[in-house]
Order: sequence, then C-alpha cells, then structure tokens
Amino acid sequence: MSSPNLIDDLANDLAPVEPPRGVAPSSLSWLLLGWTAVVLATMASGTFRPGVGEQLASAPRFVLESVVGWAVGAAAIWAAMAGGIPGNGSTAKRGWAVILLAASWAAIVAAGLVWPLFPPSMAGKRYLCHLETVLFAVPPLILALAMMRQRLSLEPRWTGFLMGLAAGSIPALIMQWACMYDPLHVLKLHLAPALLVAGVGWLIAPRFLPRI
Amino acid sequence: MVKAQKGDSEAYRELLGELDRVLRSYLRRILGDAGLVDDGVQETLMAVHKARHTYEASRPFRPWLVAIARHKAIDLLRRGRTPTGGAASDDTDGHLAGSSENRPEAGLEVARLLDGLPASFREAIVLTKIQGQTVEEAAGKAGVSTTAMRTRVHRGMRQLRKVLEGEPL
Repeated sequence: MSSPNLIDDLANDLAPVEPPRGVAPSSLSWLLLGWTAVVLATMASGTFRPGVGEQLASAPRFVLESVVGWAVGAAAIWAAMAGGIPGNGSTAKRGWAVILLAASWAAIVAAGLVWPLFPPSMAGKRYLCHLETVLFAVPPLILALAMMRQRLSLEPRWTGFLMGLAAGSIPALIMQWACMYDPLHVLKLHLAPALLVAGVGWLIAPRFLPRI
Repeated sequence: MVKAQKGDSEAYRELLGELDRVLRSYLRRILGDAGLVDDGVQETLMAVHKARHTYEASRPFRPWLVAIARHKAIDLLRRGRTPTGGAASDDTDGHLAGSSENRPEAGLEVARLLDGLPASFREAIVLTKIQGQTVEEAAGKAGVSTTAMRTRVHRGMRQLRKVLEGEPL
C-alpha cells in the first residue's frame, strides 16, 4: 500500500481519543490507591509493631529511612509514568537515578548494622513478612500495569522494573513499621523481596504493555 | 495532532501528509534502501495512528514523533527486514525513490552511521543485517563463536541506537 492510500485509510479510521492524564496526577493516584491497598492488607493480616509511633517520634534516622523509602516508590512510579510518553526522555536514565535512591535507602538501613538504631528486639515479628511483602505488592503492580496500558513505553523492560520497584517498595516500607526492626532482617526479608518484585516487573512488562 | 485526537479527520489527513514527507527524509538518512524507507514510513505512520492518544498537547510534538520514528527504524534494522518491493511510493521531496545502488548518498549515510561503530560490531551488522547472513554463517566468516557473533550484533545495534539518538529529524 502506498502512503497516500494508507493516509486515507488512517484518516477514515480516525476516532476521537482521550489524551493521557498528566504524569503527576497519574503518579499521585497510583500512590494513593497503592498505599491504601497495602495498608489495608497489612492491617488485615496483623498489627503494626507496638511502639512504632514513639520510634518515629524519637529517632530522626528512622524518619529519614522512612522518607527515603517513600521517595523510592514515588520516584519509581513517576519515572515509569513519564516513560510512558514517547520522546519524554530516557526511562533508563531515570531508572538509574531511582536505583541510586533505592541504594541510598538500603545504605541507610545497612548503617544500622554498625550503628544500631534501636536495641535488639523481636517485637512485632511477622513470620511470613517476606511473602507478605511480595504478595502485597501484587495489587499495586497490577494497577500500575493497567495504568501504563493507557500510555506507550518504548523501553518496556525499564518501565516494568520501575513499576515493580514502586509496587515492592510500599509493602517493604510498611513492613519496617509493622514487622520487627533489625537491619539485617529488613535488608533480607523486606528490601530484597521488593527487588524481586522489580525483577518480576522487568520480566513481565514487555508481555503486558502495548506495543507499536 | 490535538485536532486529530478530537476526531478531525481532515486535519489528521493533512498532518499525516506532512509527516510522510518529513519521515521519508529522516528514514532515508538512516535506512538508505528505498524499500526499507517505504516500509519504515508506513510502519511509522501506523504507529503514530496507534499511539496518537499518548501525545500530550502541553509537550512539543517533534520529540514525540522522533521517538516513534527512531523506534520503528531500529526495529526494522534489528529485524534485518528485506523491502516489500511493493508499488513505488510517491517521492514527495523531489528525489528519485530507488535502491541505495541508485542513490549512492543513501549508502554513504548508512556507511557513515556504521563508521561510528568498532570494527568487530560493524562487521557483525554488515554480515547479518545488511548482507542478510544467519548468525551461524556470519560467525563462520568472522571466525568467532555464534555466541560471540550474537553478542556483537546485539551490542552493535545498541551502539547504533545511541548514534541514531543524536540524528536530527
């Protein structure tokens, strides 16, 4: 088919379409819904760690750790949504920036191995926290995939990785408030599963996201 | 494009006609071969149609279009696709639409892009993507394992993508 014929066909096939919602409103909607889903799931499966409120009020480093953890999720979903608009910059470059932020989060937690934040305690321990982290990340990941289907990512693996990291970071952070606090436990059973969810996102995104 | 998103088919027809000219010139520089250019233009127009809802009016149109066109050009090069050889297309910018043999400058442009690659990657892409040899044949000719040849093709294409990112529309 020559281009004039194709142009006629495409013009005749034209139907009105809705432009995508902005990156910021989409990211905020996702954060709101994702956090609500994970908080509800966490409360349905147990309680938050006794005394976590006092810990947040008394330990600025714990607040910093929590803020950075929240920022990882927010930055990751923003980067994924921004990458869903062709020509809006490199998703891979944004991805590396988010990885750096996630590494900072892990580094702040790891600092607790040398300079303990709280006295050793098993208070609040959830025996299946690693599985809960992965399972609770599923609804936000599905929501992110559904929202990204309204967009077009030309780097679907990076977008999938970022969506997975964003989804995994929510339960990983909530587990820091709900489950026992020990740096090694947090790294192995809260943050590592979040990274696993990011890997799942990397693997499945090309299959679920629209292609051109 | 904003009018097209609202369903104005006349504005859309006009836009696609303009894009046809711009894309033909852009893809000719990258792909060289006239058959591939025809395929590239048509695939990009179809991609624009499919992705038109992803354009945001508050953003410039050109980067959106370039990203889609580059994606389709790389896709075509990666597939090592042969031209369809269908009906000759309109040559809207006044140049003769022919093969790269008929238009030496097209071949030169491809050579210029390949010149930016290390010799081993260039050889891998020439053997597989331009001469159309299988990875096994290319590996035999270059005297390397098929795994090494696959790696060279993959890395060469990745570097080529970076070179293309710097190409203006």
